[in-house]
Amino acid sequence: MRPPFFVVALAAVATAFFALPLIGLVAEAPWGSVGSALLTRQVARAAALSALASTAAVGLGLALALPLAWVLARTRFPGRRWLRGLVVLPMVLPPVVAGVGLLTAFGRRGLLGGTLDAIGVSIPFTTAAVVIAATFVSAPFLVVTLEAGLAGLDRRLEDAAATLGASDARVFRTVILPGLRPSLAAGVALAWTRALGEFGATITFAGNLQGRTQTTPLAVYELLQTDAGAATLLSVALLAACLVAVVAVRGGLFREPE
Amino acid sequence: MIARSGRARVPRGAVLASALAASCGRGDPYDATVLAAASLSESFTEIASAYETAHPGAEVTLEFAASSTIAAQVRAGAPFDVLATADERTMAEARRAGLVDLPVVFATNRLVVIVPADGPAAVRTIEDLGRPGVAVVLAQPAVPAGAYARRALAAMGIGSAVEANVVSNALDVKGVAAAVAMGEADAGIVYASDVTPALAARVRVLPLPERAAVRVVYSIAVAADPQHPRAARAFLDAVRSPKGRAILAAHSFGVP
Repeated sequence: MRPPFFVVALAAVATAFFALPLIGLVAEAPWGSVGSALLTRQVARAAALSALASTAAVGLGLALALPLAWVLARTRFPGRRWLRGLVVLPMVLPPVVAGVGLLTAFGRRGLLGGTLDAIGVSIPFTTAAVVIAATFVSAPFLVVTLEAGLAGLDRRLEDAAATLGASDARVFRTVILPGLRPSLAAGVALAWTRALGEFGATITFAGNLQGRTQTTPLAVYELLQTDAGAATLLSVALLAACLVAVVAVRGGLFREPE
Repeated sequence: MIARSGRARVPRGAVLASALAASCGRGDPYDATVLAAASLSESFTEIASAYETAHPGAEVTLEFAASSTIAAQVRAGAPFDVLATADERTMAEARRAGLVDLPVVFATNRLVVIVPADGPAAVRTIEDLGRPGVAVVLAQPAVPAGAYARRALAAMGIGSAVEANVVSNALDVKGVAAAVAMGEADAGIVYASDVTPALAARVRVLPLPERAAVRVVYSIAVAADPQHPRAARAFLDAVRSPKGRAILAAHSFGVP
């Protein structure tokens, strides 16, 4: 059924709702001062840290999410739905709560604090904490997309490959992985952009220090109080980065082999 | 480091009814929206309760954040009746921008160093703040608490040593208190008024020496274009009334 006219009209309203804040950012940004506002040491360090931390979070997230998604998609055991609920919880948890949770687990006084201290490791207020916070909130996107991807694969292909004598590793490499590529690409883009925008868990668990834990969203917040124009410009830059990541998935970069 | 912004409504009898009335734009003439420095959280919540008792049916909407954050909100056009900042500079900027009426000083505060009450004491004296390896949390320099703390440390000649030990610039002074209370930082600098009974149970307080004393002054002003002019004036009067002054004094503020 084609959508009737009023549905198209409502879709136009929805488009305006999503687009206006973005248009507002672009329109309000003081483009004349783009150089002086963005070519600062603070912005450069924040952008570099954000790029590094989001990418590291996706890498770490993949290592955590792939086995988890595989188990969730291909095994049946009691409590499976609860496990799935647990691992996707960080997607809906208020980020600041995620941050407090991370402190109670990995903080100096946290559950593992004593153990970590014994081996001379202190995580809060470090770049590692930025990566952990970003991973905690973004990896669930990988779990969800990879599980859906695995569940959607045609297992007969895998069985056929195995019957023809392919080893497990070869089946994974030549059958499962290519089939997973679209969900992998979508998951990576979602997780990377979520990690890039992370604020609440980061400020709570990792703090706010230029060059070490001040990511781009934290720099935006700090700039908002001293130089609102620079904050708007940096927001637009962040927006552009997210847009590129999302469009890259749809466009050529990750395109499914025809 | 829990963000303290977000509007906290002071609960009152007919909350739903008054909320509905407010959302229909027919609120009580004594409804007031107050934006205040994070360090005023406890005292202004109490003053708002007293105000609501004095004006039955009225509701006070309070928002607490760093003075620079609420000032930025006001500059961006946030509706408000009363603005209270933890310094005179932020208020002067709002005044110059034509956003508030003539401000008045209504309270003073002082800085203290707090350290976790339990666990190994990395900091026993103020000078220890500059010792290598000590994890210090200050408020970010753009907010009054951060600026005052740095001025005090500079006056003691340990400004750069402590700056090298700063592991995080909290978004507001309450973030500093939270980091020390959770034991994640070895020390932080907050206002005397931040040491509530709940915080006092978890931290030790080291007073700053006389030479590090900075003048912490709180300003309050009515919005240049208040939503509820009568409420704005009445709330300001409530803060400066004997009752309001008593509440502030009970929270360790100085009342001039």
